[in-house]
Amino acid sequence: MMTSSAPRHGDRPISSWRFWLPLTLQIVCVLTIPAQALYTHVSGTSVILQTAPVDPYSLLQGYYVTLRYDISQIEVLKALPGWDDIEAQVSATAANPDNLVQATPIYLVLESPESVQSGSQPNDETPTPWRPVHVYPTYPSDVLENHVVIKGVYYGSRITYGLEQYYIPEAQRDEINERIRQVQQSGDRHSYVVEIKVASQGISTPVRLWVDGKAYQF
Amino acid sequence: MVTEKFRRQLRKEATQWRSDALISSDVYHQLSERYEFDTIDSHARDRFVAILIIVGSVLLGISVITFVAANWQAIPRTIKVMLMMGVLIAVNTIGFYLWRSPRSASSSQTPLPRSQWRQRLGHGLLICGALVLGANFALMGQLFHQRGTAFGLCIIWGLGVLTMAYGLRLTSLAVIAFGLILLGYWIEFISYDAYVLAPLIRHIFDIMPLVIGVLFLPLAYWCRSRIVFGLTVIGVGFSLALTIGTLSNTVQDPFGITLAIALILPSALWWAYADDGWQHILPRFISAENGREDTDESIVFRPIARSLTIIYLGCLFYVLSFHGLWEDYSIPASASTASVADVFMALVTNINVVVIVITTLAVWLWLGWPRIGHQWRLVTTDIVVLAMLAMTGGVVIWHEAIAPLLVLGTLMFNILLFLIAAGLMREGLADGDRRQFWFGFVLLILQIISRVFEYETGLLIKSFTFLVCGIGIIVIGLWFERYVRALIPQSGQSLQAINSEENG
Repeated sequence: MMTSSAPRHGDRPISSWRFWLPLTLQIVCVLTIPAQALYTHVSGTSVILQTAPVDPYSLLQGYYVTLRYDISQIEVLKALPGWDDIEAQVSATAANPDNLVQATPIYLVLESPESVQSGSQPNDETPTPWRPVHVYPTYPSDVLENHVVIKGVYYGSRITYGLEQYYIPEAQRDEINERIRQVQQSGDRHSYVVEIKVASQGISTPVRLWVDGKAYQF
Repeated sequence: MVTEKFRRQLRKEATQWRSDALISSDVYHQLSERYEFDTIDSHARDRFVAILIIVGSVLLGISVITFVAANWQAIPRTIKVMLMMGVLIAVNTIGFYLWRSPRSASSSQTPLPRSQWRQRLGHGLLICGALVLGANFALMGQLFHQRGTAFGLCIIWGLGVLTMAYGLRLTSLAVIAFGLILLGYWIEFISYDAYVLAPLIRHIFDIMPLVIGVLFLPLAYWCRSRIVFGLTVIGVGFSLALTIGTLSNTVQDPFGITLAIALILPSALWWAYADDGWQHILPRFISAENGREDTDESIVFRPIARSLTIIYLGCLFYVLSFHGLWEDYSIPASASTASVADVFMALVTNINVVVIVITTLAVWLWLGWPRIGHQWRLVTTDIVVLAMLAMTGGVVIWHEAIAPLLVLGTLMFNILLFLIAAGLMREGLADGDRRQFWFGFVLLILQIISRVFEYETGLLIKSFTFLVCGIGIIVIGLWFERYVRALIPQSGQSLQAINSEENG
């Protein structure tokens, strides 16, 4: 151990670039995360998603809110046109022995509400959620102007979009938790929505929570 | 190495000797210069100061961390990013420059010079930097609401640490990087989290045996580290076995061929491992980096790979010697339609198997041939290992494809286990090699005790077995240790070998 940890081999000390090059690579790797988020933020389209009720006990785990969406529910997607293609894809995947886990990508088309199209949405109110209209097994070739495609993964029993967690500061944990609980108990589903940004190829990031007319962004 | 305690004592004694006129003043001065009597006190003082500085810095560090943590929520995101980057750069940079600090000229004589303290502190900070890198990835993901997979995090983190290990030629960082990448692989193997989300990452997962080999094998030679080599070989073998084992699921192999190959191929490759390829590539590489020729001593890792094969075989035979494994669990033939050809196609089209086997063979034949060609022969141990591997494969396939072996399989592997244990003890005796002897001995005792507990035996027999094993360990162990000691005067070299192994 000690021989290999000796910083010099031969008579010359280790040259600096042998430290700075790896460190630069490390920094570049770390910075790809904010860069990717920034890219999604700048180039992405804002989309509002309707949340679905969650089991209150798993609402907050650690420092994030667990989010479930209407579009995470299989019944909702099953009612959409194009679901048969997904099922066909699933059986094709199941037949392929290389796939141990039955995970199928899905591309969900969301349509913007009319208030967004006409620009009549007031700024300080909870925005109206977008509506799922079609689902595809591959990225659709032509997307209408008022449509946005997001990518998800169908695991046979559940669907994920990579949007299921939203990190919140510890200080506001209890407040947010309480508001969400109240909204869910009151049955007023439309006052609890999530704003996301969707970039190219359907990659999306959660941006802010709307709970009972108040927006939280961290 | 001369300890400070010894130097203190020597100074005291030497002063006494001088006043007793046992030694002259000249001799005293020579001793004084050689052991640097005058620096003993200043070193103690320096060390005290160093400890004060370290304790103080740790407290300062904690206060900064607590301050940041207290205000973390209030800090804007940009500042947070800059803070995290700053910590990453600062820890690594301070670590590097401390670690690289030149040694003082007298370092070979003084026990623990300041520069060595600096180096250790720097080394510690570099390791800390590797951990800070992981914290950076995790916190960035959290700050920007990016959800990644555990596998992705471990891979990118491991790769980051790996580049630093290559740059600084540090074994410790190499071990950390290996641990991270293997941990990620294992998590992914049991969870299949990212299966569809990230195609690139899934691809890395599929070729993991190759990735581990390509990333870490050169590093083992580069660091001249037996530990890194051992870990690499284990990592490649482990992931290769899992990959082939997974194939058996996908082709629905009713013959047990994939299972047999998963069990024996990695160890066969270890046994066949040859350093020859590296000895061609590496000298130029290392002498270029050192600027001088100090690579006459070639690095030989082959014995490690071979020891691993033996250890693996011992453990494998021990596991397979339980009769529960040889019950009739095979898939009914009707359940699978795969033919032998299908199974072989699946194996020979798996990129991991193909590349690793061909590389091993190529190195062995093409590069090793000029050296060993004219005297090429299989020595006895090669034949024994080959036979053991072939029997293992044959028995497993027979059991799965033709008929459940039940008693016969159990018996076979008990015999094999006994043979390998006895063989190890015999070889250990012949070479005076403690570890070999004791490994064989422990295997044998384990076999006896396991069999006693596995089958319905009376308490009396159990008690008798323990009695015999206990006496056996004491008597044979004491006898062996005496035997080794008696062996020592005959061959001074083997003593050195044993001692160096013990110390290393």
